[in-house]
Amino acid sequence: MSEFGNRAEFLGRLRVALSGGVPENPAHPLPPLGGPVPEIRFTSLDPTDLRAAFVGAAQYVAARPTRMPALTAEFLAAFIEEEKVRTAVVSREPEARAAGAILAELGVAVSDYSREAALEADLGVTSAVFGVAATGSVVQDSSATGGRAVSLLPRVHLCVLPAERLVATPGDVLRSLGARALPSNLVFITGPSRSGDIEQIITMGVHGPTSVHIALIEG
Amino acid sequence: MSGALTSDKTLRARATTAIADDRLRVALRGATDRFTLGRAIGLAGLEDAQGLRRAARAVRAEILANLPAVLEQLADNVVANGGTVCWAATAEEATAYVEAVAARHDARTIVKSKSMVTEEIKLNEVLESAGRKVVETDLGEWIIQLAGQTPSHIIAPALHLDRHQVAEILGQVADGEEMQTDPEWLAAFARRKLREEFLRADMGISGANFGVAETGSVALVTNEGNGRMATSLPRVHVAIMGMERVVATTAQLDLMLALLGRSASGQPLTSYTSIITGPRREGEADGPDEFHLVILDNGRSRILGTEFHEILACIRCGACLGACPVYRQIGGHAYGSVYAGPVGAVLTPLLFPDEQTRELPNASSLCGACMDACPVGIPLQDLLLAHRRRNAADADASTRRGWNAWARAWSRPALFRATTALPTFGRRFTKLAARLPGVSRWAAGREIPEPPQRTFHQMWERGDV
Amino acid sequence: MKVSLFATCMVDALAPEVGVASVRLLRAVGCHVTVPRAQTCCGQPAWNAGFAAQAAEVARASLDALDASSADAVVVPAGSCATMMRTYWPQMFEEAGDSSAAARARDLAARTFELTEFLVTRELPAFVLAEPVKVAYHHSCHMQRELGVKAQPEALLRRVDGCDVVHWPAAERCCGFGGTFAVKMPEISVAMADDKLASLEGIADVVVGADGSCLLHMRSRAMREGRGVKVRHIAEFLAGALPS
Repeated sequence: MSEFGNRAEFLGRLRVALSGGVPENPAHPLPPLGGPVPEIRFTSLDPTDLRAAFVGAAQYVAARPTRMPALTAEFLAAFIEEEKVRTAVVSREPEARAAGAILAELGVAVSDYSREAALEADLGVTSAVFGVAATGSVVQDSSATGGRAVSLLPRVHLCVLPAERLVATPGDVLRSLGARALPSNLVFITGPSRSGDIEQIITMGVHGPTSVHIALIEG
Repeated sequence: MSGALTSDKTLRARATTAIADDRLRVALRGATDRFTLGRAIGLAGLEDAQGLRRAARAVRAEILANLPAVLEQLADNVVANGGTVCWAATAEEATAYVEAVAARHDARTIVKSKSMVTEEIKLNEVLESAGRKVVETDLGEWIIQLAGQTPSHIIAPALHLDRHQVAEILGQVADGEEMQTDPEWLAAFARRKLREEFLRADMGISGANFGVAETGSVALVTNEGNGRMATSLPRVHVAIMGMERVVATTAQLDLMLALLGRSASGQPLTSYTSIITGPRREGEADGPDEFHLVILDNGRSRILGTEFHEILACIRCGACLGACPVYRQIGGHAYGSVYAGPVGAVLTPLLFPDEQTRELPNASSLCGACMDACPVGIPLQDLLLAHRRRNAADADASTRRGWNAWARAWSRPALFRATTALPTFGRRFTKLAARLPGVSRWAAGREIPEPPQRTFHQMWERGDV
Repeated sequence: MKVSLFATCMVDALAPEVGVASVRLLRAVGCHVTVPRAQTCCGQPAWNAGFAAQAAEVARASLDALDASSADAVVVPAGSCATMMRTYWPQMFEEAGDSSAAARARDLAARTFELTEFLVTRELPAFVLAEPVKVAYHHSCHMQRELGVKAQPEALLRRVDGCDVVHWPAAERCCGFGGTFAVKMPEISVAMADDKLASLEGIADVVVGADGSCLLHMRSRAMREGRGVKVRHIAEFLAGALPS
């Protein structure tokens, strides 16, 4: 059974409640209904240079973006040194797999994603289906990554993002996906995991990764 | 506990206790200042933010006007995506359903991502009395769960606690480990401890920031990652959603997301904006096998179509709490309900009408800052006034007599001028209104200035102006 | 230009000097001022308490008095009363079942102004203070949010030679009067006033506002707490800077 409770009764109650219309508010009347959703524009977004905008926005949310023509061993060597990475899991995405191959050559113990491997790993490597310039977000699609927790369980997340996948706004992502059905899990990742719940002091990595790096591949 | 609220004390007594708590007030001032500043910066990042707010008000009104059709589409699409829908008319139906799912899976440990609606229906109690361990995983919610308290703010549940109190509370699960008070250390402690729970959990429960009818999805807006963990690691995911928390299209979702984080705390997007569409698919290495959406009424249909209708537009951002000068002084617990601040003052007496909750609309000076801050333009001030009119309709006889006497006197110009001219009127002003409950309290704490020699009208009549 | 002054109950009973100052200012900008004798109160206290019929009964008397005077404009030296008349009278009269009063209220609203809102539309005299003073301007709630009158009072203050309008982060926050709120929730009301007054320490000599009830509330609390800051209505402040 895929439905429980009484749909007809439930909705019937709503229809009765709405049947008399909604009282007007004379002091602060509603604006006219039924118009299209307006376009959302961002004041600090330069649509002619999405890459620069993306980098700025990502830095603002404490992600660590780096522009490069291609992912190199030099970059990854410095990266694993800084983040003290000895073990890694990679998603199914080709860009993540390719990064995994380089990491393995650098002596990192690399596995395909599994929960057990991710729990032991210092690093999770993914690509992204989109990058969002206005917010510095990378968008993960569970059908592409093959595993949601690659970018969640390890303390460091590296996202290898081809620059041609940059779009300007979150709305652009939703519109692009609009034609096809959504995956089981789509997530806009905007910087590392954070909490302000103790004395309103922001701390990173409360449950998700403590640091997020984005390699923006422009070659 | 006799009524719906968490305390038997009057609103005034609860407020007075809060005001006497200096540490709380410092915390409240700091937090509300930060949220207000964040909101200003966040909205400045949008072009024509006020236009977007107006559009958002219209969008929410449209959705509510079409709510049955929107919910039908949502339910049909959730089912088409492999999920299960429960139409829960009441809190009891909702909790019974979730317990039944938990029982079917023999769920011993359940992890929860922050959800106010689950507190509204007291879901944890039902699951716990069936012998299940329920762990709140949002850091603030986990802290107050261990403290046995209720949240004091929509987005900052543990606002009222300092690091020492947090360390003491979390020490309950320290297993002999020595607690430190540094927030980063405490956060790392939480990460370690809660990860154990995520991994052993049989079921994850979340709320839903928005149901998206067009795609049959649930959008979850979080910062910590616990929302993702709770909805990705356990075998079963149950999302509980107030029936009004829906949008019809992804375009409407986009508008709501643009305003939500910015209005709450200034974040353009939170760390994780997840759009969940059904259980895991073939070839995915994680994700739940089952996805359930519980659509909850629990009194919301009684609000629909009434003069309070627009409160259902609320997207639970917390901006009104940050803006409210009363909240700033008294904090969330003084409201005595899971829903605090201006939205709570309007919503709580509607969801849980009783003698206690009817006082809540009095926790307002009607300054209108909440209306200004609300990203979906809810006319909160008008709703508070509507509550007061409803309360006035069955006010006690003495109050009614007081206002009638005032109206009789002050609708007559000669009587009006006579009363304002009483020689010691200035000091007796409060006595005129003495029929109102407890006016003598007004004088306490105030120096009453010397009354004038003549009224303005007297001066005008004498030609002294 | 013929102007009717709606003095407000607060000014009449407790702060007649505000009425006097308002008349002076209106005359200084070339208006002929009348004060319709039959005016009483705008009804706001009862309206805010939920007693619409009682509010309407009182407000009707004022509506009748103002309607009868054939003024070009009605000027109100109180933001909350001006708001009551413009924003809420139509709704209030409808609630009380008096549609014809509601219609008359809508007409009157079109020519009803808060004092500073009105003054900036006129040719202004020079304002000069005998001694320089630091002023913090208190934006009362309804005036800023319902009438949208924010720039006007600050603009007037900035025209006063010797007046230094300081930046006050708490300027727009409610002072806590709120009418019956001050009576029903006195502890919260006082805490809100204290919050505002504390934030003024050391930054201003005078706090100026356009709503007598806010000012009474802050003044009485300041006096009780022994704070040195003075509290003035903008009408008095400006009138005091007119050439004598």
